[in-house]
Amino acid sequence: MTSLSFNQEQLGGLRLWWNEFGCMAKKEFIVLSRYKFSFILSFFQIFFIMFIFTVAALILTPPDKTDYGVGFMFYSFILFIYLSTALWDIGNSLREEQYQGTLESLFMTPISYFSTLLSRIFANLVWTSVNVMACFFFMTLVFGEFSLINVGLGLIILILSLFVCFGIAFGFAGLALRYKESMNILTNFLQFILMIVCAMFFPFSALPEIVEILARIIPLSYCVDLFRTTMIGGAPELLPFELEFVIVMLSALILPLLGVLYFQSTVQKAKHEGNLAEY
Amino acid sequence: MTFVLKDYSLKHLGVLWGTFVVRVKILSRYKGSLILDIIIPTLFASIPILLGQAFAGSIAAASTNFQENTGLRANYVVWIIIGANVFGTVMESLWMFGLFVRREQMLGTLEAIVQTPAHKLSILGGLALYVEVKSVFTFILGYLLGCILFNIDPLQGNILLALILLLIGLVPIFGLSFLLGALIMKVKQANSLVNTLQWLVGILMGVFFPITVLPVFLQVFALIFPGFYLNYDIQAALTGLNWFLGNLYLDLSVIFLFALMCPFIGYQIFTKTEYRIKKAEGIGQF
Repeated sequence: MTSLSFNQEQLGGLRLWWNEFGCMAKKEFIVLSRYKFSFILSFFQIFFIMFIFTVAALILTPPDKTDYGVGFMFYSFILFIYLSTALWDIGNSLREEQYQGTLESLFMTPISYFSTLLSRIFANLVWTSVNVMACFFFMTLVFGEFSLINVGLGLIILILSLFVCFGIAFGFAGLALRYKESMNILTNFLQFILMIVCAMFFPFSALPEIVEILARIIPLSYCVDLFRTTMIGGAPELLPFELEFVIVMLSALILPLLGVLYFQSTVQKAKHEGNLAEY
Repeated sequence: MTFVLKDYSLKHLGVLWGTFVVRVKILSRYKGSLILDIIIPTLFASIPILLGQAFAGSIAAASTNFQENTGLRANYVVWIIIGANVFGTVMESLWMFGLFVRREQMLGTLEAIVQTPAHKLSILGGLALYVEVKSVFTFILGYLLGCILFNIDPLQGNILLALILLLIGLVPIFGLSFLLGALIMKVKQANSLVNTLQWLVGILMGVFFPITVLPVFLQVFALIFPGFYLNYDIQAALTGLNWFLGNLYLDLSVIFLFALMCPFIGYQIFTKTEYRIKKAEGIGQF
């Protein structure tokens, strides 16, 4: 009987979490759909980025490696665009609440930090996924077919990698509350640093030795390496496949948790100091 | 009468100088932003440089591929470093006015600025002066940083000519900045515009690859975009490539023509848009 009531409590908690997540995600969808101009532009943005980097790659690539070059750029880009979406959207969305004066009252409610953060990115995540699929067709149309070695495993690795990106973004959202106006500069900087150190647009072999050591410390590097090699074939560059998979899986579990904990501590600190609503 | 005229132009200069000083003061408060403006072009350039090196096996092999695929006899590393740095300055100039308008709109001071007797051109002049000074500063340091990191002699080519081209070539970009300013006033969603159009600008400028590799319709767009000539000619001045039209003076003539036309057309469109918005709802809304 005790066990049953405990389960019901758990189920009730889950339902409550789902409801609050659903409501907040819906609100984000409504906001997103109201800015039609931004909505449409973001669709084209992905094509432009893909085009510029793929053509840049192809003019430096020997003709026999063209397919490999296109595939390499496309799969590298997928992880980059999700990371970028996570980094910018969560922080910006919280800053918006600060500007609008609703952040303090939001954090007075008993909603979970995890659903607050996840719901902020959910709408854009769905939209980015639609864009990525459209981009796949665009790339095939412009540059011809390219490799799709193991889609099923690739998708699993992509989902795990998304959680790694969320972890980084959750932690960064805490920084957004702390550093306020300087956040844009910090996000820009972090995005570029991760792009280079995690070799998001080129093989790890191109990195100088010292940067490669740094790359091996960052879990996101293993996501990039694993996802790319799963989709275009070949062995991962940093570690054997099994080891990289374990690292990615553990990172997908631990990083979001650490990110939320850091965010929570920042919010608590801001509440104590009374500067949560300041911007 | 002479005194009145002199007094009037001094007031204009005062507004221009005041706008310039305000921008410099704001920049001095966000030093990280200035450092990023210097570093980001090199980070941006390192993507295709390292990619080429990895795909081709070495920088030399990538250079050979670059020359075979584009027909340009230039060191691709220098070529891309210059392109990325010019791209940075063009982006700064292109969004100068639009982002200024948006910032003032959000701070709630735009309507007040427009109500002052200061002429818009004086304010624009101050902004343009700020962007010119900042562009030269960030271009020199960004180029130096890229050259040092990729082990290239930064003193090759005609540096003075490149800087003169940069100063003149940014003038038509200021003109286009008015157009974007008008667009931002109308649609307001500045960040999305910047984020999307910057990549299109990068394609049309030929930042990472010459426009000859693009489809014909994109080449046509590139040829009517002043940023393309600015980038190509600076690359030519620093790497010893042929001028785009075969002669420096011909290329300069095209840039001068753009420098005359773009600010005029851009300003006309901006003032018309501003007038329409003022009549409909006022420009303070954001």
